[in-house]
Amino acid sequence: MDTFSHLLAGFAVAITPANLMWSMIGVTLGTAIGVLPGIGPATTVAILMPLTLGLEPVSAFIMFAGIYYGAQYGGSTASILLNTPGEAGAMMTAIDGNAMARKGRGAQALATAAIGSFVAGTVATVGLTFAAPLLVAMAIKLTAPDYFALMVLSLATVTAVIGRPSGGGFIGYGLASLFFGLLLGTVGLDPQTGQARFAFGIPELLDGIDTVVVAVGLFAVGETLHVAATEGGKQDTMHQLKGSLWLSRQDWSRSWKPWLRGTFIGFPIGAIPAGGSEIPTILSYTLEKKLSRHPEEFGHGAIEGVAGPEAANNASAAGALSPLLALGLPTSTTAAVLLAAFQQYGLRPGPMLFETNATLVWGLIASLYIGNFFLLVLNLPMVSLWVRLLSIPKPWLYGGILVLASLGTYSLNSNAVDLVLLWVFGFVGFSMRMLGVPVVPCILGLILGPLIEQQLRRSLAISQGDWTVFMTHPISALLLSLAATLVLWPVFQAFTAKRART
Amino acid sequence: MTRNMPATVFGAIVLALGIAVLAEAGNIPKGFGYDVVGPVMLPKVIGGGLVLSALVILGETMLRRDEAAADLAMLDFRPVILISAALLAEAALISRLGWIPVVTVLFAAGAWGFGDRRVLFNLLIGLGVAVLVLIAFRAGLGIDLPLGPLERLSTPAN
Repeated sequence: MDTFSHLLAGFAVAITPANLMWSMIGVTLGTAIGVLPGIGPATTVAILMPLTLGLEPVSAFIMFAGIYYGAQYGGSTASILLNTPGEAGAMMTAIDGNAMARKGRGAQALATAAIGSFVAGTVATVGLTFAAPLLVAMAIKLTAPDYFALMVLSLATVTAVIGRPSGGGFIGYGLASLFFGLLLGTVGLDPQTGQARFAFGIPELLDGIDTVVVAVGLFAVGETLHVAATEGGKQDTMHQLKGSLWLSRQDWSRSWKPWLRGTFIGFPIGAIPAGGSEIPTILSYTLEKKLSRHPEEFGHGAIEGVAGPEAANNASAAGALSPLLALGLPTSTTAAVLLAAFQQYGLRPGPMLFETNATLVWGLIASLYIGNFFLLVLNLPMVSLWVRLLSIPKPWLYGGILVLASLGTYSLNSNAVDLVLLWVFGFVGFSMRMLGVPVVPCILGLILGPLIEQQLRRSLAISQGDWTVFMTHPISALLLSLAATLVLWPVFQAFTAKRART
Repeated sequence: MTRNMPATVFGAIVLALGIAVLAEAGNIPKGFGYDVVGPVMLPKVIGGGLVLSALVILGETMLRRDEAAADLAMLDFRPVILISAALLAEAALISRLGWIPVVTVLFAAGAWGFGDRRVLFNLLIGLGVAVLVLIAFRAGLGIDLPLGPLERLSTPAN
């Protein structure tokens, strides 16, 4: 089959000694930064991006694949040993993982997380290998209005899901965050007419605002300021690892089914817009609790409660890569940062990339298998090193995060204006955290805004200015009405429900 | 002064931003005739969207109590100011003084912000981190971080 020959060619690219080394470095660094408490995968990828700048694209993306999977995995260590999940996807792992650590079973929690991540990552990467060409075949049929509608829908889902009133959020907060992101995306020269927008005469702004600067500012600096203002340097209690890392037979038999179930929940949900890693991990946790013969153990160190969500988390990471590679559509913040990395190299993910850059795409997919394998063989032996990273005193940890953040920002373009922006977005991120404004719509708005505008103008150029083009294309019409319902329904609900109560 | 104060202030800021965006969008030169959308439309939509979100926020704030927002009185703003100052100083001085001094200070400021009061000790550690990163980036990756005054030492005059 065609997919197999492509994949084999991909392995031929990825298995050169140099690329194997980049993959290994990527996995190690990704895990090392991802392990740090409070740093999620999106921040990890953003901070480490400049490290790949000197490499040729194929090697850079192979290293990226390693960083991506490493970062996704690293978060579980902090959740289990410190109970400080770095991002929403690690929250469920923290519940039972930390309970296991308190009972002296931290080593087993780490082991089931590592092996589960490997199983889920591998199965989900197989899924990606076969889903991506199918998506590409579909994507080729999509026209500009359909793309426009698809992107609008994905922004609408993110905003609606994250800002939904029933989840304790304000739909208005989600919308404000989204439009702020879209606004940031318009800064700089308009690619079609060359007009400067919102640059205020600052030459550095003409090139636009880098997604990496915004992501690092909102996440890393924002989080640092937030922790400084709320908890300060109070040290978290860490649970030491005792005994062997090996899983007992009982642990294995309680883990393998949750691993597989988590995988099948995580992969498809990770692939749909706004799926991210939060929803699949929650679903996996609730499912395991429902299926378990000892639901009372959940919350007190049930191994299924670590195995399932961790598998779902990693599978969703692979799931998110399918629409990213095949359609150029990021469905999570981490995918948005990866898309920014592609753009840094002048590459545009999407169906065309499979045609024009088949070696790169398939080399990247093959390296996901390899990175996943390295993750397993490196992580279990290196676990004591990760534990030592976790015990860095907080003042040094956050001092170091600030240094890493400015390193990642400054080395992008070597200009000081980016550092000012880093602070601005750090402060904005801090304020958003204080109020509970979601950050994700902002990042996705920033990266999708210019793409949406491009597709909009392309559509109208094709239709010669006829706006009905979005309604006469059936796919576009369907997606747009779905998007409108998603955003307007919670607004409507927020007002009617409250009026009914008061 | 209610507990909804932060949300109301936020709504007002978003409203002001939306109006500013709408005003500034009017200053963007129009595109060409064949470009139906032009460079002005999206900014106008965004400005309108911000105004709309502000109205939704203000509406929501009036209709219900905001339990999610943190209690502002509990916050310690001193570390925030200190770290902000260090970041802005870094931006202002990195071209002139180079990577090493500004990052040394940034690290120490971060550590102070998190309650570590050993200034000299942390400056030393910050210096170590800065030098290590600089060497790793120069030698390992070929990415030049600015040296500042040290530039004269690294490139021998000939």
